Amino acid sequence: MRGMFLIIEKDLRKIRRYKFFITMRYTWFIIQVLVFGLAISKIVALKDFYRYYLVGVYSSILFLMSIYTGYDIISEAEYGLFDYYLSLPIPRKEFIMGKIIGSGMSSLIYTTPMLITILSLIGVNSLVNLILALFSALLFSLGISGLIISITMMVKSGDISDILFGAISTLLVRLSTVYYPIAIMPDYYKIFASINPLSHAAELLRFLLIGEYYSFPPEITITLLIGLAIGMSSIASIIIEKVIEGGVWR
Amino acid sequence: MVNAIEIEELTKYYGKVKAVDSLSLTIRDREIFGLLGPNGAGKTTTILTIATVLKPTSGTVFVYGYDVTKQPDKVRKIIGVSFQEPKALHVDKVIEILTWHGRACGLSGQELKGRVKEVMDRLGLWEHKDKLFMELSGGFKKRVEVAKLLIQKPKIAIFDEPTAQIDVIGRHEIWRAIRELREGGSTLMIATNNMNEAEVLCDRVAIIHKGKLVTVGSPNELKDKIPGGDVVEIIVDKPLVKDVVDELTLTVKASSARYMNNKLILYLDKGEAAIPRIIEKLGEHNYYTRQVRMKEPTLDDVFFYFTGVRLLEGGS
Repeated sequence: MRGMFLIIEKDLRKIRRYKFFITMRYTWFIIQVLVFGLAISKIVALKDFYRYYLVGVYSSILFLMSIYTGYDIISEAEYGLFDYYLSLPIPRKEFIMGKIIGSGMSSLIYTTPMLITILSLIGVNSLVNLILALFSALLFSLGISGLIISITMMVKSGDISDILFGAISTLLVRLSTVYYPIAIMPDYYKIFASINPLSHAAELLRFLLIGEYYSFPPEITITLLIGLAIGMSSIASIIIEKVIEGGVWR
Repeated sequence: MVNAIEIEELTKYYGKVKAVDSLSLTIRDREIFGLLGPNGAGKTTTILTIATVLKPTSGTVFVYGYDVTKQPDKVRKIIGVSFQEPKALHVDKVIEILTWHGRACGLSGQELKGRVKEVMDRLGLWEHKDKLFMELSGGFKKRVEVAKLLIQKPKIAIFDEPTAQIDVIGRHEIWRAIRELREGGSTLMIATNNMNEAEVLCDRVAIIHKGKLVTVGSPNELKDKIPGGDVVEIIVDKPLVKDVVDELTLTVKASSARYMNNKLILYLDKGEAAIPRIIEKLGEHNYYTRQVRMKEPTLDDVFFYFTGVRLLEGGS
């Protein structure tokens, strides 16, 4: 396990170097929460919509950061760092799990200032729920990072991945219950929103942080998030192992 | 005695490109072994295969008896690679890069701290310890890459172009450190296209070209493979033609000759005595001799003799 922890540590150490990036993201988040959020909550006739919106915005930011940290693997491959990692006395499985867990944890840490902000606005209803919310957010990050790492390693091109993830994130954020509950969505939206992992992450976080759920019960959302994290991490580990062995990522 | 590395019929393809072609080599325990060849010769691919980063398309590689394909974890425990292009996260500090590398290789506590400090001092890196990797010059980045292996002290240390971009003083310090690694019990493999480095450092050298082994032996053995004791290098005013070179070779009884554009190299005995005759003969064919140089053969001459191209010309 030592090798896995070393890889995770290396990923987490990157965070402190991206102060500017985090500041920019946080500034945009604050504008979204304090300007758009307040404005839109006056338009949408739904009880407590502002609180609904706040957790939704946090979920979407967590989703985008998970894409970013997962995508980071391609820059490491392009800089030739894989050759270095693979020559070290770290077993392949530990390296792969370290990369997936490191990406997931990085996303969670990147979005911590945003989480603190929304908690200060909506309050903390229970410490246990907050811990469960953090755990759920980590599960979601692991799943999304696993998905992005899998796609990136198959595509093997920074440019193509960039375009692909732009399209994926645009679609998934809009076709989800991040900003609106499923009840007020048009029917053709509902199908996508109900199978979208982002909807389920947002719903579970709402249940844990606000104490209410709007679209799906927590038993379903937690099952789906656990499935997403385990499933995507496993797929990613299989793909990475296949791709890196023999230097196929070159 | 078990050999350190045994490469048997190693072949590696990247798609349809054959990077290494049926390469067979044996590297002895505690030897400093040079892999000499121009860029694209297959040196780095060979190194990456030995280091278990790449899998061979065919053939086998054994590292102290461990098969790199079947027992890669065992191989990685005894091997270390210093890459041609320095490998580090550009946002990491120099000391973080080296400390993390030491930990990844199993070092800890005072031993790790002591080795990191000692090697950084030695390579002039200590004063840059808190600099980010991206803030370093190319030469210092390369020193960081070399420092990793000096800290690790692996049983087999592989250096890919260890002194590329490094100034003369730094180069000699690195050579000294490499020799000390051997004295400490390591076997060393050095891939280089610097003939001087290979001559100064290596016990034996393998010359590879286009993925194939050309010849192998100690630097002196390789030089002795060139027939004729002297190398006479002549530069004329216009491109040479085969007929003139053939006639010249017969006239001065050269054992062999190579030419490229307006440069001619003759391998012969008593070169000094032959030079006036060479100039005269070239003059008869309306060639004006611009420069004549006589020298002992170098590894570059060995490479040229076997392949027809100069190492520094990139084998093109």
